[in-house]
Amino acid sequence: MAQSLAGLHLATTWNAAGARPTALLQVSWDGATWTDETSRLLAFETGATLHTGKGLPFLGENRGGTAEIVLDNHDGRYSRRNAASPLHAHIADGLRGFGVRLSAGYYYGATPERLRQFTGYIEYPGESESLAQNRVSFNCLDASFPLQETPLKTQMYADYRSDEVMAAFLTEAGYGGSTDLDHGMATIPWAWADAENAWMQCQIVARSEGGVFYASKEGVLRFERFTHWLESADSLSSQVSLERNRVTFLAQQQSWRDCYSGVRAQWIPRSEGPEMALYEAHEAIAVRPGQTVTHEARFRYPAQAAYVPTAADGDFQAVSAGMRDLSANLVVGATIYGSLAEITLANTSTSQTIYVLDLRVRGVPLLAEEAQTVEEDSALGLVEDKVFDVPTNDYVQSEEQARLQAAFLRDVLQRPREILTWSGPCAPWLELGDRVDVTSAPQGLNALECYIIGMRQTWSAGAIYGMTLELLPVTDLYAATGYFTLGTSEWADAGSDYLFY
Amino acid sequence: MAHKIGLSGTEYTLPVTPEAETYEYGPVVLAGMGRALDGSGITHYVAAKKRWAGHWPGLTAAQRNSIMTELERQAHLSWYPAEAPATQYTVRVLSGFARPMAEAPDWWEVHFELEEV
Amino acid sequence: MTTLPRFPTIPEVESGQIIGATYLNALARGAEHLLGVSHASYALPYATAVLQRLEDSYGDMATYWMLHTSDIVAYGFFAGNTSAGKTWYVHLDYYGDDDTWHTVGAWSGTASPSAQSGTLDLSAETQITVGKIYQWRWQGKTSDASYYTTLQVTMLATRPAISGWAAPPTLSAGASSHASLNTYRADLMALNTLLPPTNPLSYCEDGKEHLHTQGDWVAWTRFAYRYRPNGLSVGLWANMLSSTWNWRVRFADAAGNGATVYTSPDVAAVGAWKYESADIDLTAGAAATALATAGITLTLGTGYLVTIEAKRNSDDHALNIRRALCVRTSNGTPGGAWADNKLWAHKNTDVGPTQLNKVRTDMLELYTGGAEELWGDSHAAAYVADEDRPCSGVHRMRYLNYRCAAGETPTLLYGAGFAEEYGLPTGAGWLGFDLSSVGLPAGAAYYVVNVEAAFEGDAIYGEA
Repeated sequence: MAQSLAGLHLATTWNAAGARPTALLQVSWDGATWTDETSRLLAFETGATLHTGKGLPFLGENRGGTAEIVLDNHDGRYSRRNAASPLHAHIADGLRGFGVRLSAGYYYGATPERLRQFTGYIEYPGESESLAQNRVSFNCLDASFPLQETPLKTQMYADYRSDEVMAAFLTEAGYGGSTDLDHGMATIPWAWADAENAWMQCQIVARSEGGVFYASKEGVLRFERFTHWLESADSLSSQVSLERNRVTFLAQQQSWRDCYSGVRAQWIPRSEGPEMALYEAHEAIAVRPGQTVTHEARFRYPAQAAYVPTAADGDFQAVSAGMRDLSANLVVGATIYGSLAEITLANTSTSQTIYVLDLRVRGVPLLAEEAQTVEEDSALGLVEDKVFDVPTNDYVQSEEQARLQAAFLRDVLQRPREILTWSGPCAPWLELGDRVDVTSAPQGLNALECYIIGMRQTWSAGAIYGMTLELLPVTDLYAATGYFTLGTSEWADAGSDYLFY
Repeated sequence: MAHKIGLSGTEYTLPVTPEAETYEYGPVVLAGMGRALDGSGITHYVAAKKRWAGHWPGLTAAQRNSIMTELERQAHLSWYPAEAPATQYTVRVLSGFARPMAEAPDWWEVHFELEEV
Repeated sequence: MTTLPRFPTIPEVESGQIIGATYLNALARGAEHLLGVSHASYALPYATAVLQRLEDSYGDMATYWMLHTSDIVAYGFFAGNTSAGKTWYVHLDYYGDDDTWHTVGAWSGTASPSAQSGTLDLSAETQITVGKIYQWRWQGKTSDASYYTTLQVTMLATRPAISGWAAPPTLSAGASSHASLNTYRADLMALNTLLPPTNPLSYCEDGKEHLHTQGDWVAWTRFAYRYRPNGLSVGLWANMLSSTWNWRVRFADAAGNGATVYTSPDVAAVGAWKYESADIDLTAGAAATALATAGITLTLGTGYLVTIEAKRNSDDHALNIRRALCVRTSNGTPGGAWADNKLWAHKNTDVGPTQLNKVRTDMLELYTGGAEELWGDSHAAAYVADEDRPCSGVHRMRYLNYRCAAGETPTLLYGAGFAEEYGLPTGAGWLGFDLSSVGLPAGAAYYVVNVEAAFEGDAIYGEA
């Protein structure tokens, strides 16, 4: 949603023929305070997008927003081997993971008015020096950065709504920042994360109901469901009019290649199987005296429940090389996750090595049944016999979820989509998903309303502070206006607002 | 305050003001420029800096050397211009050279071009 | 792998959210799913004969295994004496986690027969845990050795109360609200959660060599029918060398009124085991007439006794009967004010009270006091220690929980004419078996024979 303009004059200053942009760059070197590095800022470029292929949000992965920030390094301030740098104590091991905040806007008179344009972390730096030019560029990733680093293993969550699953994943990943999660439209019967990074897992959960998961300019992790753009005020009315006297580059592309006659969505229901051995070790595990061994037991199937192995239940034998029973000297612990267990084996003997034989983990598996398919076909006839298969998603486990995907995507993919690219001075309060309107007489664009699905900002010496927007015309996305909205629409036996899919 | 130039804190006080005929100062407008598809100009102003150019006439060799020492420093200089000696600017030297005065042997003039950083 | 009907997943909605056909169809399907459960075929639980005990010390009269699904236990029995004015004593115990018997119900009286029913609250009991199978026993005694205490057990089940139910609001034209729909969702889920995790496989008396005087009707095995409309499917196996035989189904209410709701024609003996069955509509035809004549009114939730009787028509040939089957059936007609729900579609414009209140109407029928009232009863399984009996029922749940009888191999009999056989694994204690690994059709009747006790469940449960 667009950033707030309360108390600011950016809605007019951005559009002035002569304007004065302003930027503020801060880096947190010590992890607690923010250092102003603006005086060294030479140029920046930020980019964020909601889509990958097919020009469509809801289907692609969101790789995270990026920023490339170029700074003057004439005195080696940002060189990690430069012992004379005042930052040496922080950056000696490398410039990675430091927090970055970039704000930009325009002066109103003598007052700088700025909004946050990027919040993230330095992913990797690049230093270069040529004659009389010593600069460094920080390649940064948005607030998704720590989550893209963290492989996530979680317990099994049963019947959580999509946003509740994401919230649980984020908590497990140790995320302590802000989130803004819509209520999901679907309940996921079984959800768990298995060693993919937390960011990727949240993406997959979001896609399971056609939503999007991304980090905002202000570093807030957002989940927006399918219908978000029909509900959010900033997506329902234009946040800015993009006129011909400000556009420096305008392009339109209509993709027939991504037009389909129907959509097939799969769902894979899971049910609890009979208790079984989820894991069996195929090796004897040796634990020396005083040693604690951590053994990863990866299950055959994801588990609704798994039990800590005990000797009494026959889950292992703990013996010496001479087959003497040493189970009294073995302390067994386990952390149980949805698809694996980490078992700790501690030997309290001072002289004997314990061999743990035939270790197994029993539990109740979640068996995947045959994948079921739903198909929704277009009646438009614009293309023939070309069906889009929605990529399989582990979290689409019910028919309701699959039908929702298939129905909505059918209506979207049955027409060739048009993407507009608009470049001009930057309107710094805009965010992904906002609605804007575009006017350009030669192309017949007369206040054409579009959603922002991609944004890039650039500023460097000699150039204007500019933005390039990727725009998706509104009419291509939703088949009708005036859908039934709880709390706004009225119950009516006839003439009510439209029911969505 | 006096008309000075040099490293901050150790400025050299200039013995003369610049020659009126050649002295000039004015703004350096830093901006980005683009034109919209209908020809409308869009200018994004960054800053307006100052620039000074001229020469100091009638310098002895010693004075010449002192001034050239400051102009040859590879650093930003502290500058108190003749028209506003109470105002301090930080400048870099775009050019600085000395030449003998043709009409007065043993006397020198130093030409300068400075830009505010 | 088999797939089984699943209650739909219904998400909660929030203010400002757009709702769609998928969501409203999920609500409607929830109601329809529960209607289907309300009209399910299922085996009637076993009712004992009128048992007798002479001793003046407590002793076992009937034993049961029961999965403890809730701390509320429902019971029903008839107690009595064989000598007017004498006191009968009955009590009900469970064998707790501490390996000791605990008495939770004790009754006595002089009326005979005395119909006793009600619920017991076991929440204060510390030796019984939800989720495990426990042994239960009915014991009786007399005051002296001059008379018998009689006991006929008709009901032993855990019966949880509904949880999470809030009176569903009536929607009216005007401002919409997410809260109302979330209440509908919570109520549907509360009704679904109430349903028992078990499906009974009724136990019947041991096979019998019927040698009674020809022409005499003699009762053989009984079932307890906590009535849900509207009929029964009853069957048994018989083997006679020659002549003919008949069987009939008797129906009695708690007041003792009795009627014959079905009488078979003369069945010719074929010299081998043969299955006979009848589908009985209690609300029409001869059966309804017989009930009316006997003064029996069928009321949802009231208990009745179903007895299978047999008679042979020749004193020269033994009639062997075994393996009775008694299943409640329904014609599926919704009762009360049940409203058929709309099939919602994209761009419908009748998102209003007339359609949406149907869900409310339906839920009220499924709730306490409604015509489709759902019960949480999870019935106990009768048994005689180490003795095998046949159990029969309708396949509705995935797992078979069973106990072997000494020396016997439990066997499934299923398919057309119950001709297919499948031997189950043997072992000690309560065992579990995944029925989806056998070609057992969902909703079909089948037998589990040569077991001590058995029931179907949504999981494999263990003994405490």
